[in-house]
Amino acid sequence: MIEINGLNKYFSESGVLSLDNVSMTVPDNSIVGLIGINGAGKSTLLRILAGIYKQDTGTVSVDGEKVYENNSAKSKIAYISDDQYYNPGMTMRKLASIHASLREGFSWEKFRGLADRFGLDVNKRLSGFSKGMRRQSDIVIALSYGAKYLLCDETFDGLDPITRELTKKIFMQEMTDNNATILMSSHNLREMEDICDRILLIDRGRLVLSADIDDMRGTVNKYQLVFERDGDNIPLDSLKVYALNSSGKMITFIADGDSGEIEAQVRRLAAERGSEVIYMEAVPLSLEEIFMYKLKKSDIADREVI
Amino acid sequence: MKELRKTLRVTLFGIKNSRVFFILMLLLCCVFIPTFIYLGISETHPKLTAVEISVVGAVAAYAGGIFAPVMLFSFLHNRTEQDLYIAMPVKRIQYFIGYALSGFLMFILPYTLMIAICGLIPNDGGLWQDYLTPVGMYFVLFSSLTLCMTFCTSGAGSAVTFVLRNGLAASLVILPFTLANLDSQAYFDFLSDKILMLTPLGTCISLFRDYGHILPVQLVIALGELILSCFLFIGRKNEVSLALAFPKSRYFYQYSVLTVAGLYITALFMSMFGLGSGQYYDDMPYVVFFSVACTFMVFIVLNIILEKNSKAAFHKLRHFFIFIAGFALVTTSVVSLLISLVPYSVIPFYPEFAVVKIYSVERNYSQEDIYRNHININIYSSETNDYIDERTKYHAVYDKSLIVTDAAKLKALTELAQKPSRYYDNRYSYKSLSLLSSHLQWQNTVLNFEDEVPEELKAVEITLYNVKANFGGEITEKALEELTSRPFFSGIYRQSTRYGFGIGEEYISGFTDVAVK
Repeated sequence: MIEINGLNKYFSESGVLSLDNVSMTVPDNSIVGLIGINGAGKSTLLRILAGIYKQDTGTVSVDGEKVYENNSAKSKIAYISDDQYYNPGMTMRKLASIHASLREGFSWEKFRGLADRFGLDVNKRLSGFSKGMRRQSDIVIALSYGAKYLLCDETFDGLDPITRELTKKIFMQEMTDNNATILMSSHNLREMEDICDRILLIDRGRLVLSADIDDMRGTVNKYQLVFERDGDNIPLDSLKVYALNSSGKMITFIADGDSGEIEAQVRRLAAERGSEVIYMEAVPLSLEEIFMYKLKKSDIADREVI
Repeated sequence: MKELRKTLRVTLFGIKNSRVFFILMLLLCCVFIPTFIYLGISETHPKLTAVEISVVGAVAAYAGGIFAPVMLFSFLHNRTEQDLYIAMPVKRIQYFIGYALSGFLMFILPYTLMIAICGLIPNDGGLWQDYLTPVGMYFVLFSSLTLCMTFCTSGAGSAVTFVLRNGLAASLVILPFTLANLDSQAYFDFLSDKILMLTPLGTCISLFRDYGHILPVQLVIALGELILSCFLFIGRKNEVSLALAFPKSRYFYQYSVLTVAGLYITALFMSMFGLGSGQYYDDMPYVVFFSVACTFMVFIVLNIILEKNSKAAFHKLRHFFIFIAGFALVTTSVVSLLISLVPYSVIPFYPEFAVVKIYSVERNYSQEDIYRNHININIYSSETNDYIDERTKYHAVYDKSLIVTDAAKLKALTELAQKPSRYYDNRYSYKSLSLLSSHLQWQNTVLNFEDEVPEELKAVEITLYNVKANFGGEITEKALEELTSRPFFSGIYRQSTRYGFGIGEEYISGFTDVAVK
C-alpha cells in the first residue's frame, strides 16, 4: 500500500507550493487515477513517490518503507515519466539494458513478449520511433521489472485509440496476474473512467477529492425540476449543490448526495414555501462533468477549466 | 554486502555507459602511444627512458582526467536522464562512488597496459618507477572536474567553473603585481609553484619543472574536492533544472564569476597599458571603461549559459550595474587604500627581494663580439610630463641590475603602491630611482659607468638571499649556486636573456660581473 501523510513540496526557484498537505492512501491491487489541471501537482506527487524528489515535510511510504533513498522500496516501484529519457542513437534494447543493469528482476522474456504485443522492433533506434511508440517502449520496459507499483505520468498521452485499449488491457492483466497497483495521472477523464477504481483529484497542490468511481457516479447527479409555482424562492442551501440554474418554474441543479434523499428534501422545502414539485428527474453525469463541477466547487471555476 | 555489490554494479555500468571513452583511452594508451614511442625512438635515440614514459603518462592523464568526469556525470545536466537514473533502486552515494571508481578504472587499466606494452620496446628500465605520478595527476584533474560537474547543472557552467577554478589563482597573482608595478615575469617565477599548487591544470607543469612538492599538496586538495563533490551529489535537488544545483547560490555564483573576470580583466588591462608594452598609459578611466566593457561581455555570456536562453542575455541588467559600480569602487579605492596602509611585510605575494631592473636593452650590433648592449632608460616624470633623464641613452654598458636592500625596497614599493605612476618602458619609477639615489647615492654612478666598477660602488654592500657581497667584490661558487637556485633570481636571469645578452653560464658570469662581482 502507498501511504502519503501531510506531504508538502515547495519549489523555491519558482516560489510555488506544489503540494500542500496532501494525505492519501493507494490500496494494493487497484488502479487509481490522479486527475488535475496543468500545474496542479500531479507529476510532482509521482516524482516524490518514485524517489526522485524529496518532500519538504510529510511522509511517503510503500509497504511501510520510506521511499526516498531506499533501494528496497524503490525496487518495488516502476516509474514512467511524462518526458522519458531517450538517446536518439539508442535502440529500445539498449535503453532496456540500462534498466536491466541497474535493476534486479528485469525480465527479458517479458520485455520481448510485451514488445511483440505492441509490435515494436526492439533493435530499431528510438529516434526512428514516433512519440506514441516511444511511450509504448517506456511502458514495455517499466512492465518488464515486474514491479509491484507502477507510476504512470500521462501515459496515454500520444497513444492511438487501439494502442490505448491494448495498454489498458495489459495494465488490467498486470493487476490480475501480478497483483500490481497502478497510479496513473491524466487529463483525459474519459480514459480513466473505464479503467480506474478510484480517482484522486488534485488542485493547486491540494487533494480536493478522493473517491471510488462507482460512488462518484452514483452520488453526483443533475436534477431537473418543475414547480407548481415560481421556484426561485426555494432555498437549496442545505443541499450540496455544485451548480444551479433557475428559470421561472423550472430549476436545474447539480448536487452530490443520495438522489432519493435529495428528492425528498426538495419536496419538503417546496412544501414549506407553499409550492409543489410537479416533475423531478435525476440525470447521471459523466465523470468529466463531475470533475468539472468538483473543480468549480474547489474555487477554480473562474478559470474556465473545461 | 548487497549494497557493496550494488556499488560495484554501478561501477561496471559506469564503464559500460562510457564505453566510447574507455575504448578511446585503450586505443590511445595501448596502440597510439606505444606506436608513437616505438617509431620515435627508432629515429632519435635507441632506448625508451623512464622520463619519456612519465611524459606520455601525463598526456594520457590529461586526456582522461578532463573527459572522464564529463562523460560520467553529464547525466546530471539532463533532467530526463537524471530522472531515469534517480528513479532506479540505487542510492545517490552508490552512484557517486560507483562512477568515481569507474572513472579511475577507465584510466588505470589502459595506463597500466600502456606501461606493460611499452616494456616490450627496448628501454633503459625503470618504466614503473614513476607509475604513480600520472595517476596522481589524473586524480587531481578528475576530482576538480567532478566538483564542477556536480556543482553546476549545465556542461557550459561546469566548463566556466573549471576555468575559473584555474584562473582564480592567476587572477589573485596578477592583480597585486600590477598594483605594485612589479615585473610580471619575475613575479610569476617567484610564485609559480604556489600558483601550481592551487591549479589542477598545473599538474603537468609540475612534472616538467620538477616541483616535487606540488603534487602531494594537490592530491590533498583533490581529495577534499572529491569529498565535497560527493556531498553536493548526494544533496543535489533534482527538481532544479537551471544552471546551479543550489538555486540560492546562483547569483552568488554569477557575481563571483564576474568578480574574478573583472579582477582579471582589470589586471590584464593595467598590465597591458601600464606595464610591459612600452607604451605610456596613465589614464585610469580608460582602464575602468575597458574593464566594465569586458565584464559586461562576460555578464552577457554567463546569462546565456545560465538561463539557457539567448533572450536572457540582458537579464537583470540593473543588478549588473549596481554590481559593477560597487566593484569599481572597491577595486579603485579600497584596494589601493589598503595597499598603501598595510605594511609591506604583510601584503601577500610580494617577493622577498625587489629588483629594480634597468633594461630594455638593445644589442649593439657594432660591438657584438664583446657582448655589449645599449641601455634605454628614459625616465619620465608624471609630474612634469617630460623626460627628465635621457643621459644614459645609448651608453654602451653591460646589462646590470640594482639589487635593492630591504630598506630601500620597502620604501620604493610602498611609494609605487601608493602612487603607481607609470613611466616610459614601464619598468621604472622616477620616485623609486630618486629614492635609490637619496639612500644609496649611486644612481648616476651606476648609470654612467662603463667597464670599470667605480670606487663609490665598491663600498656598497649588496645582500641577495643569503649572499652578501660588496659591489665589484668576489663571490664564491657556492654563493653563486645559492643565487641561481632561487626562482626569483633565475627568473630575472631568464628575463634578461630575452634581450639577447647571452645565455647559460656566460650570461651568469656577465650578470655577476656587474652586480655581485
